[in-house]
Amino acid sequence: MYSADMMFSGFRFKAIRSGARAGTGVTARSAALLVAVLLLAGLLNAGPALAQMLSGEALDAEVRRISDGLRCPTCQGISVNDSDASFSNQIKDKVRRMLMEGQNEEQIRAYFVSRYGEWILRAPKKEGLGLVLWVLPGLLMLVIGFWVGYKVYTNTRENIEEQQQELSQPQDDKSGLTTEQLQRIEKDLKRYEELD
Amino acid sequence: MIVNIGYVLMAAALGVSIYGSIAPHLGVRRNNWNLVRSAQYATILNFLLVLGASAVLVRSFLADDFSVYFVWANSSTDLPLMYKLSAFWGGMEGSLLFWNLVLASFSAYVAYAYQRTNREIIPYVIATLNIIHVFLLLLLLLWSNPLDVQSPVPLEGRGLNPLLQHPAMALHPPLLYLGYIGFSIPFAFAMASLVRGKLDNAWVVTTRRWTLAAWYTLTVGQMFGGQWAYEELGWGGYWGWDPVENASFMPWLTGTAFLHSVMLQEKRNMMKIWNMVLIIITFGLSILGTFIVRSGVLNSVHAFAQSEVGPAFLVFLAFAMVVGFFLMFKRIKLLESRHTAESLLSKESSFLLNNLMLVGIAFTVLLGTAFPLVAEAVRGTKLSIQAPFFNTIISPLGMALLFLMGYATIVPWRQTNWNFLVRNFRIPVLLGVLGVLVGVVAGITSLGAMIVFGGAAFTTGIIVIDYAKAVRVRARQEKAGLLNALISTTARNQQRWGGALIHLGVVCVMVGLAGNYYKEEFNRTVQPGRAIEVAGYKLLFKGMAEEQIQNARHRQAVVEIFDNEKQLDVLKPARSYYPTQPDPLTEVAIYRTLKEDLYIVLAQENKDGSATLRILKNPLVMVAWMGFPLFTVGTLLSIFYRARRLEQPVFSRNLEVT
Amino acid sequence: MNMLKSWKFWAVMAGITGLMGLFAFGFTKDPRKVPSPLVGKPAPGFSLVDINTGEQLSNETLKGTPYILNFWASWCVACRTEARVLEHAFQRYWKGQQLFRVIGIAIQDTPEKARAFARNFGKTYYLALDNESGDIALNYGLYGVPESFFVDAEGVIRYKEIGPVTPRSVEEIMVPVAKKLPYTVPE
Repeated sequence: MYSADMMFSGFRFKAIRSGARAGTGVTARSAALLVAVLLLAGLLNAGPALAQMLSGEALDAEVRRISDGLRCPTCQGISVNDSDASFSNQIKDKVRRMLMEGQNEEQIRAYFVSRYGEWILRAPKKEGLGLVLWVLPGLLMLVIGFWVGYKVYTNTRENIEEQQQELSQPQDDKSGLTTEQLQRIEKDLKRYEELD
Repeated sequence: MIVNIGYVLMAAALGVSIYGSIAPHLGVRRNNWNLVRSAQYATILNFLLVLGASAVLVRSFLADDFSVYFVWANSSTDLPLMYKLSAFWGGMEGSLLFWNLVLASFSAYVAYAYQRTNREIIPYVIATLNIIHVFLLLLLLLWSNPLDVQSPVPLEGRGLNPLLQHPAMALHPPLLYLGYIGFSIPFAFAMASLVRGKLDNAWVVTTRRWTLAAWYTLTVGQMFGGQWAYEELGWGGYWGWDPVENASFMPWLTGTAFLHSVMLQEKRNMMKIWNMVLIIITFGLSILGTFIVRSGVLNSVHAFAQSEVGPAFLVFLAFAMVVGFFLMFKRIKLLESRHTAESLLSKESSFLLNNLMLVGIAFTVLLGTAFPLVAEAVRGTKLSIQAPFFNTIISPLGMALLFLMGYATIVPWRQTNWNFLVRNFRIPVLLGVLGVLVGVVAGITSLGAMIVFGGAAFTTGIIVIDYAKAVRVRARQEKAGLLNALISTTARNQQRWGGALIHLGVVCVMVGLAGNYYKEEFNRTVQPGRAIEVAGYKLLFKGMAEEQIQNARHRQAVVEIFDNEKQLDVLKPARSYYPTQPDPLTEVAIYRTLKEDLYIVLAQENKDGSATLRILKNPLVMVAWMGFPLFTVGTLLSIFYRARRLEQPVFSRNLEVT
Repeated sequence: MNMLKSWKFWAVMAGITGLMGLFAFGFTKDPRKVPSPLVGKPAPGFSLVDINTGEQLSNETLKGTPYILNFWASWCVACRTEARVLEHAFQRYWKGQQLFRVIGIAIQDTPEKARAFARNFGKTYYLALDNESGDIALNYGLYGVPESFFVDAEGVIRYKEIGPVTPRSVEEIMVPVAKKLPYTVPE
């Protein structure tokens, strides 16, 4: 009985550990497969590399992409690309001209930041204070996630040890409760008394 | 004159709610149930008074009484009847009164319907609700009264903003309010339970329907908002991460987390502290939502004019949070529960993960919304935090939730083993891979879209298989036909299958959102009579036309849409000129199919007769809207389940029942 | 009270206080006013042609003279209220004292409409037009009208006014800057 239990729990732990790493356990393998498929698909369809000079559709697309990272100065929440406001049209035009002069995205963004401040970017740069914004959500969730996961994991171990203890302990009371259980009731009662 | 009656009614309502917030406490203190009962009646009376005041405002709108400033500012004689009614909540003052009205009706219902049940906590439920009322009525009377009059009386009103003259806009704000306010009911029950120290699961079970209903209205309200933005604003999207959208999204997220984690309390007696935290935060975020709209602290498309109600909201928010958490910590010993998840591979753990992610998203949204203020305080410069930030952080979390939704559906309570998982997830994982392959075959190269398609197929597969299995068992047991088995399976566990439908709705919305990963955009200038090939369609520009629609002059570009010589539709994207507006508004035209929307904006009408069109191919937008019926049916199923009977205490220690 | 000894309680209270403080701080700021990174930097170059007289002007020829560079438009309602203030400053501080110039640049506008606006609202100072692609406006990081810059004799931008120029900022900031006197920019 004892050893069977151990074997079972041992098996379970193994499962738990691999599950913990993958987050949602079983999706790990499919996720890996998925990534592989996607990488392949991405390689096959990779867009044309950005040439020094762009024209036609490629230029249009690049204008759209860059102006999508700039906020429309007169609107709320939407990008220069999504807006038809006069300022936005002028900015799109400017981006196009700068691209045709051979400037790259970084230079174009730097130009607008020098005139408008970082405010013109739709998301802050990942440096300094901006880095806090980018990193904090993920970091907090990881820390809390691991902490909760660890609690559950240790709790699992405790539970199993308890079960085993309970099984091995003689029932020494007419109520049919084990000493351990009685102690717990005692402790809980005390907690209630402390309350008021 | 009649307006003065409205004033008097509001003032009376304030008096009544002050009584209603004090009397229950005295009643409990003095063991006098009559006092408590009187507060119940006061709450009902309060509703009637606010209803009366609202009727006065509605009358002023219908009668075009422009001596009332609010009516003048938001209506005009030529406004269609529907919008005269919806103008009620078209401005700040009116929406505050509307807020009052909804809360008053909810409170009255609670006071009436739970008279006999929940005896121990109901006095403090009533008191809590009345305290919220006192705050709202004070705001209304002191700073923001829709019945304020002006003189001289103008002959014509300023009219409702043409952008707001849209059916979705008539529904979007009230639905959001219903949601926000709906959460104050579970909040009030939670507070009452804390005050009374009665911390079993009664408050959770009693308010479950309220939470669901609030969740539903918030969900649908946001969808209407998205629809409005999509059709009216003309930038081709439906969600812009505007501070006000964020403000409605945050309580939705924590509310969703709450909805799930209370199930752990109901079923496994876990998470009692956490549920308190969630409901306090959700209520706080609802208040914060209104605060953000009203205060002008954060720049937003939706912001009403800056006014003094902002600080008042802030003070109330601080008050509610401090009192809420104070009470919670005071009772923390009673809330502590030995029950926790027993294994990482269990339904409990999947709920924990669900909560972690939902609250993590809510935190991200809050951070992104408030961070410009942080930057300004620390560095003195302004920042913009818009879609690129939110999408980057939140999309992966959303995708993870999509998979989790399927996983959590069938992972058993307490614990499971690896074998069980492999056995049960084999087919769904295969379906997921199939979903990705379908995407690949369809020529989609976006990684994000493929993950979502895979997740959607995986989760949908799980839910459908789960249901099919249950139906099969039932059909075998009852030896009934398939239809009967379907009905009886659903009826036997409405909550579960309602939830499953809602989950399918979420899948739809996420698939719709994934369409954004491969939307395409084209700018084309076309001469009249010429056709262009774009996004797999042929568009024939017939020429410009002009049409007078109500008070606006519409300059329309008539565009015929062909798919291989077969005419599909005639679209008329337009720019509409309103006499009161300096700039024309864009009127988009959309050709909708399940696969994609062809979304055409008339960007410019050129001097040579040509038109510049902005053409967007927005994939899968219709799929996102399909979430709406699923949410509706699912919520109805879940709400009207046969509730487990609550055991009511026959007597209570310090309350004599007369 | 056990709770007062719990660090969790105090952490939650601190969190609430922090958030409330942040929003209260927000009340002291106008979200519509974005500080310009150009303040303290040399004014971006421009060359202008007066819409009435045809007189040419550039930032090079202006070296040695402080000036208000006011961006406006005929379609802008708020620009009406500042027209009088600017004209007054022009009369008093340029025609009268030769202290600083007033230069108006209309953006996203046509010469006819700009001239009509200037007539209607009595603008007699130097008025020019930005080109159609808005080069000057973008170089100055404009996000609306009216916006004005005050450039000192060395050609460095000292102050940006967002919204209509007020008599107060003329008297308390622009005049002291032009006279090289100490000044403070209010929040």
